[in-house]
Amino acid sequence: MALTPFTSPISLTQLRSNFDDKTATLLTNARAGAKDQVVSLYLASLTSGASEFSRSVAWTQQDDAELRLLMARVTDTGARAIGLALTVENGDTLFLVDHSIALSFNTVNGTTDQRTDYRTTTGTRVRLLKGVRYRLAFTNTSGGTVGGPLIANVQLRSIRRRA
Amino acid sequence: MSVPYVPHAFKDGDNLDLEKINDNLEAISRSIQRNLDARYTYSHIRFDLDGLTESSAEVLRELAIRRRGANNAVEVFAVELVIVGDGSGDVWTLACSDTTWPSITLTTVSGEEVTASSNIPVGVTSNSADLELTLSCSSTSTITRGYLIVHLRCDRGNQGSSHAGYFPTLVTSATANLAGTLDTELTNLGSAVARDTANDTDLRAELYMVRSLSAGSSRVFRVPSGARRIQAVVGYVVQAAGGSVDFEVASASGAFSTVTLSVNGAGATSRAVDSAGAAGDVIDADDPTDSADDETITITAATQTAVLAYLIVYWS
Repeated sequence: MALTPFTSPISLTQLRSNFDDKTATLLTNARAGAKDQVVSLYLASLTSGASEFSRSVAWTQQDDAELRLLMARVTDTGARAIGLALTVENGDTLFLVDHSIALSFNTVNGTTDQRTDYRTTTGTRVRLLKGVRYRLAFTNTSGGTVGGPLIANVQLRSIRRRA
Repeated sequence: MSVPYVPHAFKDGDNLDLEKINDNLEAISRSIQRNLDARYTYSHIRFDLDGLTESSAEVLRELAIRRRGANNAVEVFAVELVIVGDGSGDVWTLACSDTTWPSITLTTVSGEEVTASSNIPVGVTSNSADLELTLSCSSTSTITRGYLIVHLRCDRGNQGSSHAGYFPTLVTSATANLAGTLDTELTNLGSAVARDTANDTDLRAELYMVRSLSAGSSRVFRVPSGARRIQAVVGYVVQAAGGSVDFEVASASGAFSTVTLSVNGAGATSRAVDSAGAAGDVIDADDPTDSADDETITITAATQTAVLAYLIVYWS
């Protein structure tokens, strides 16, 4: 809304309207800075018993971010038990507020898509914290090789920061 | 995020208390400054190192990055180097083309994941020249599994236009032409709010890559849709001359216009680069739990094997 200039006499309602308009714009701008991004993991295939380092990725958060979604999408030819977990690197679950952030499912002959939504109004909100190292890892506990590809995504929401 | 407010709500019939006006001017000045100060966004890109050896061509051991636009400031805020080597005691070094950045080293332990990191920032200063992070090793070594995570910090307050705040001139009982003075103050604070609105291009980067992609084949990455705006893509290719790699970023729901980029190979040991802008379409209505709304990133080696291809996608 355009600024409404004053004429004599000053209108108090107009003054309030001008202030309210600018604070509303500031709030809209601040909200617009909250955006989603993903941390992805792509595996061409996954053998049973593969070392953790070959089926995972770890990173240290440089900013706090809200966990929005955990997603796994796996293509295979048979029914194998697949797990996907987001954990704290040193096992200190306090940094996930003692919540298990994980998916487990059986593959089918084709593509399986599994997602857990952490945005639900009544659900627990989880925040990944700056300075904490997190790891996203697939597991294959059924034996054999998952043909792949295996795609995992963690969707995070962050806001603008002062530093 | 703090909620901007003014402490006093005026209405017709009240006395116009000048101290209340001053309270409001000072409060909105603080709110504007808080918004403008919130100028940084963080993200990270990951560059896979699997299968590299000390004798791999330098361009295969090197991550290049440039700004999406001249006025879109990006800095490398921190790096994490993770390597599982085939032997122990091999020292891998990560150095930067900006030699003011101190290199870091990592000594392998056979079959174990070893991490080295740096929290020294370095600026990505150009949208036409690359900042390069190069890995090297003086002994015989193969990286069984490894990746380089580059944490980026983007500054929306450096977009080529003013990002200045608002500092009010307070009114008193001696203020002449009160209406005119208030007009000036409201105009000035309105201009500062407009600067906050104009400098709204945050940047968050993601990197999608593949090594040894045979001619005619593709790799498709898939990510859930979310609240964001696609800004630009920068594609890097190492491929024999005569070949090309096609990059595509698409929204299954059509939430944003498909962005395509084709980069011609410049030789098996040379890096080619090109970029493409996007329409800046806002995505916020899609459902990330619905795979029909997913975004796909496709890398296709059109004619020759792509030794290395990666795409940096800049989102706002």
